[in-house]
Amino acid sequence: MLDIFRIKKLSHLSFVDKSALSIYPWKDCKPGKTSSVTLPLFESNIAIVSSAGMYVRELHDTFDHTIKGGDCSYRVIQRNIEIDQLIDGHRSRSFDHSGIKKNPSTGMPIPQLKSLVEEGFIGSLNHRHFSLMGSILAPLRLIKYTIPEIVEKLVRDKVNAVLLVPV
Amino acid sequence: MCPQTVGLVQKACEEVEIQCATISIIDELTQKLHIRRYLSVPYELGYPLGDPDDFTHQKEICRKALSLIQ
Repeated sequence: MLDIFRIKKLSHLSFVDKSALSIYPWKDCKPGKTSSVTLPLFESNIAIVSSAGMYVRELHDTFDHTIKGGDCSYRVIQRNIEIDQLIDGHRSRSFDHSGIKKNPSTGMPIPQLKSLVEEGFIGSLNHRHFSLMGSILAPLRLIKYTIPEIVEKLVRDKVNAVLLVPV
Repeated sequence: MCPQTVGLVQKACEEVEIQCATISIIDELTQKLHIRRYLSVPYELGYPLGDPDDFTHQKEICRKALSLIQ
């Protein structure tokens, strides 16, 4: 069973944040069709998509916190990255950053999934993963440009399943 | 806005037959977004896999989430 670590969730957000969440026009993320392909996990190639805003200082520009509506760009994180190289670039002040700063793999769980590969629970971990910064209030560019690019790469890599990690 | 960002990725992936499992920190938002498969975790925002020092538990969260695909 899961241990209760901390539960604050919505209740600890500021009045302004809670009000904004209540009136924000959320997109419907229900897929238009149901996937009929089910490969066993032990044969599947798995990728991670995280909205923790992780990047690698030596390889990437940081996410741009000044873009109105949010930075819709993404960073490719290679499977062989040293997890300590990942940096928290998320602009949100609505959550406690100390956990992902202390252990970046909690926002981009590459070592955890490598361990599941070693156990034989999943077939393989894709050679690259994708990092976005979640504070995107205006998602049009995300929908029109960023996501199709990511999905095209996932298809090219023959990824069968994705673990999605919001923060 | 993180749930919406990953939710939109989830929608696009599922529509090309890539199955998805999503960590859900705030179920009210996850449900509002109509995300198909999600694992509800009892953690605060910023801690999708719980205690940052507990690798074994983080791995179990990933395992449980991916198990939703089977």
